[in-house]
Amino acid sequence: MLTNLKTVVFWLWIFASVVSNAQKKDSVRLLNDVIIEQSRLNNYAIGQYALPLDSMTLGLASGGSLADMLRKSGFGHIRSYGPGGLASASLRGTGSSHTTILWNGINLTSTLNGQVDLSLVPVGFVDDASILSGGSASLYGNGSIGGTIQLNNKASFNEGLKLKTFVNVGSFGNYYQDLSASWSGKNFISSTKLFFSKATNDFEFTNKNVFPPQTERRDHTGYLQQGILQQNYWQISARQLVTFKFWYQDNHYEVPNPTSVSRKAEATEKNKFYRTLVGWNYNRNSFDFNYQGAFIHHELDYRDTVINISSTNTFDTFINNFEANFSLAKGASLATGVNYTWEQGKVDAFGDVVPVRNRIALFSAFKWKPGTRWEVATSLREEIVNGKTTPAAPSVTIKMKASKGMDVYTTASRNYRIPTFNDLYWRGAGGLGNRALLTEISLGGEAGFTLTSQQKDSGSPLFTFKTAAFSNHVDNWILWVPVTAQTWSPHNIKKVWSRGIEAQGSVGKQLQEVNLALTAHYSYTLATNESLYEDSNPNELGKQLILTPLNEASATARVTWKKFQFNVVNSFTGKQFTDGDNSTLYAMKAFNISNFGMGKAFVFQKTKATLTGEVNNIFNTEYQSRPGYPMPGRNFKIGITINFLNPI
Amino acid sequence: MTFSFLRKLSTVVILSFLVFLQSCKSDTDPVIPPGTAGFFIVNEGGFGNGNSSLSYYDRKADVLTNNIFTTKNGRPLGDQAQSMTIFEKRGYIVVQNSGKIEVIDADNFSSLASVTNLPSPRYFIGISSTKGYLSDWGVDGVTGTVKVINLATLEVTKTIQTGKGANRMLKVNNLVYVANSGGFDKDNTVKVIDSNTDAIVATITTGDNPNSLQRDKDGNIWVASSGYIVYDDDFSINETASTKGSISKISSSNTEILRLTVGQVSYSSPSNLVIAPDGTSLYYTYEDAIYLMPTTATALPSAPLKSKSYYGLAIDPTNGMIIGCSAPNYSSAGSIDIFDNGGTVLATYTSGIAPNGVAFK
Repeated sequence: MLTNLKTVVFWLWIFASVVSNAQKKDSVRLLNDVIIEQSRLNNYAIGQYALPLDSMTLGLASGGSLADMLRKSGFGHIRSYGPGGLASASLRGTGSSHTTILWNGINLTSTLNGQVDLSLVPVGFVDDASILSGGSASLYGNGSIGGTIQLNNKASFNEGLKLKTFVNVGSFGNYYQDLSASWSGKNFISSTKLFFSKATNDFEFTNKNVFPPQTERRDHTGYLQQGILQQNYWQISARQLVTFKFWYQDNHYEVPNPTSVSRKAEATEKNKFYRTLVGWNYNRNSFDFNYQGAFIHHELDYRDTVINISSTNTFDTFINNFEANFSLAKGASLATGVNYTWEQGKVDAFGDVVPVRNRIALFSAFKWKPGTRWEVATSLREEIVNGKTTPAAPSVTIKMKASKGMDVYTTASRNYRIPTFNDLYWRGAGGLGNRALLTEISLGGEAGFTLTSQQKDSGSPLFTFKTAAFSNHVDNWILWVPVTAQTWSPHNIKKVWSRGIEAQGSVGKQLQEVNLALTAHYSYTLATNESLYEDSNPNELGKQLILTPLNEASATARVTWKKFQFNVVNSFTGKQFTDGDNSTLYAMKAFNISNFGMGKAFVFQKTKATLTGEVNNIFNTEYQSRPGYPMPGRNFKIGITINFLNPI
Repeated sequence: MTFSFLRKLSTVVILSFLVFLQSCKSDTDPVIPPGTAGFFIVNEGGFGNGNSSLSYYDRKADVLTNNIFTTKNGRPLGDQAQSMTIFEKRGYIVVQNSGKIEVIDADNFSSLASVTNLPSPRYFIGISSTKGYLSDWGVDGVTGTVKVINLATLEVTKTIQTGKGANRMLKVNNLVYVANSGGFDKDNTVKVIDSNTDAIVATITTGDNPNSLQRDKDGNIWVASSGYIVYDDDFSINETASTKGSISKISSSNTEILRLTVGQVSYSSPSNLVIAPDGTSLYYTYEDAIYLMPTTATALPSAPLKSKSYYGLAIDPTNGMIIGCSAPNYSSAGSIDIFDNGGTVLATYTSGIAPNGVAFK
């Protein structure tokens, strides 16, 4: 009740501020800016540890999925069932459903399992991405306990006709092709991207699960994906922009058994989804209004002929986001809005129950930079699910310019995650949902600094360094535990304390014709179980969560010389425990994977072609993405990209 | 601290990342005791995690050593080890979700063979030097069978359809009794196979889902049955549609002559029926406790021998001590308690994950 009262007071204050401060201010909008359609809330996330994924990093996937790219670059911890298998991100020691994936600001999370399968996100459909861990992630609402991964599309007016095609062929039947065509005029843009991708992934591994151990090929690990992304932008007046995006994708998967299972795998999965996004932006000097409406339909069809299982899992989500931004006096700005989300799940294992949720979230963010030195930002989000309030999610950040090129900040925030439909309504073999589940809550803080130097005079390196130390408590964490030998059920029993350090740096140097760039990333994550509950083992208290490495690091070196480009990517994943009391007997060993890539560009008038080649896992290291799911040894890829600029 | 200092420091840090290599060395292996008199503990592990393991207790040294299979053989045991049987100096470890039997030398623990591509195997018994029986749930958890295995070639030579969830077996002379535990469904039979002909010669009706069985000194066969649980829409137990667990007594002429039904429908139903070496005292687990019942009983005991939940139960044939396997969950190490027939714990040892049974040499 007290929380509600505080919420009301806060909102009254916000609206009073709007009314009194909403004065017209001069601000010029450059029409030919790059358009990135997303919530303006990012502008308020000033205390966020952000890991930007530039085009070079995105290019590392060479036509693969976001999961491939993140795995290869070593950014963020990926938990996956091998190449092409289900993959999810774990940021700052949180669970697989604690990182939201935002596509142009729209939350793609499945209402059934609270996750987005990153193996179903083709990097070719993303123009700009970043990982925002912890901190101000409460701005983005439900599920952003660990952070968010933001995937954006970009477009620019007045660029004419552009055509591009990319073909990549690699070991183990890897084939990827995409085709994109865009036309950009003064007020209108149309862009179409198509992709097709397949692999058999029948790489060799040593099977120690049979005696005598033998070299085998991985079986039943193939996939086939194809999709289309259509985008349109209309500048219908100087103040109004309308956008349309449509993303359809069809995915067929073979689901392999872990290597510990000797039976032949037969299960297959079909994933089909479409995501439609309509946006309207109205801009008036110091005022800016955004509407985004998105409809997501996702079908997952799982079949296993051996055990005669055929299950269909469908969810539909209709998201409406209304957001107003105000530039106020004295360096202050304010964003406020409402998000209305309707969601429905149809799952065979729910029986006759077709759950529907109506979710309304009110949010507001305020930022004030009175001078050149200090900056503060606050935000608040309150979500009402089927008429019931959830815990309010506030955040506060203070940022200070400590010296030239050095910023220091500190943030505190509270985040939440509501139970998924599977958690609530599952009623199939082996599992029983729990309708009494509560919302998970996290409370965290972090502090960090950034150093940047951008002297343009030659010989001086371009340099950035960022680091943050964080601490985050998650309570009411939903855990599926056995209630009988064969039945598992979810309960709000887990408490987790994760804390650690993240750091990244980059240096660049131009030596006559050679450009050298080094980037590195490191994270230390201590995520421990802090609760004892019925049937838990006292030895598990204070122990590191499973599949959560303490140390992860990556380093990339890039050399550009004339039309050549070379890169070396090295990524290290520390030891991962697979049991609750951190026995080294069952731990997955640390591994270090090195990859090499090179490219050469050729230019013929209006056509630019780039040939690329890469060697991945150069040292043929044997490793697993999780127990029983081996990863490929040394493998190769070659590709060609052709760009036609204004060919006619 | 100046900016340029920080910059230099950071540059050094970044550069050092470029040269770091494989860091963690593997932990040194523990020493394995020789295979003196003792017993094995089967640790099931967490389903899907491939962390089953085998432990060995050396009676003379009073030492329990964990993870002996992997330590000795340098490879994992598999996923969901269900049971182990020692027959003619070989250990047959049945690993259910891996669909295999790992065969080891029972004295030095070294791998001899693995029998793979089995659907969902549960228990093994030896019939003769060249023949063994393996119960199996079938991949669907209901097509229960007993597979006849040629112990020389380790190949399945015949499959006998028995019933849903073919589980523990008991050999009495040439007859093999198979408890059909229901698997993922329901069954209420014990099938009797003539091991000379591999033909089913009798079907005995018991309470729902018989899971384990023992023979007493008078030649009667005792069967523990789990009962069957039906859930309501609100996920609570439907008491009227569910059936209670029971203990049945079967005469030497293969007919049920007594059925003692427990007080309530329960997740923790009667199971793990074991018998003392003299063949007069039965022990079983029910409602998070161990019960002791003499074979002369005509009613179930009202009070437990020991109020503690055990996932597996065994009696040491050499000294009559009771071995309770305690598995608090499927995610961390369990333990075993060794206690006397008064329930007094004499020793406790940490085991692998989810210990579910014991195999005696």
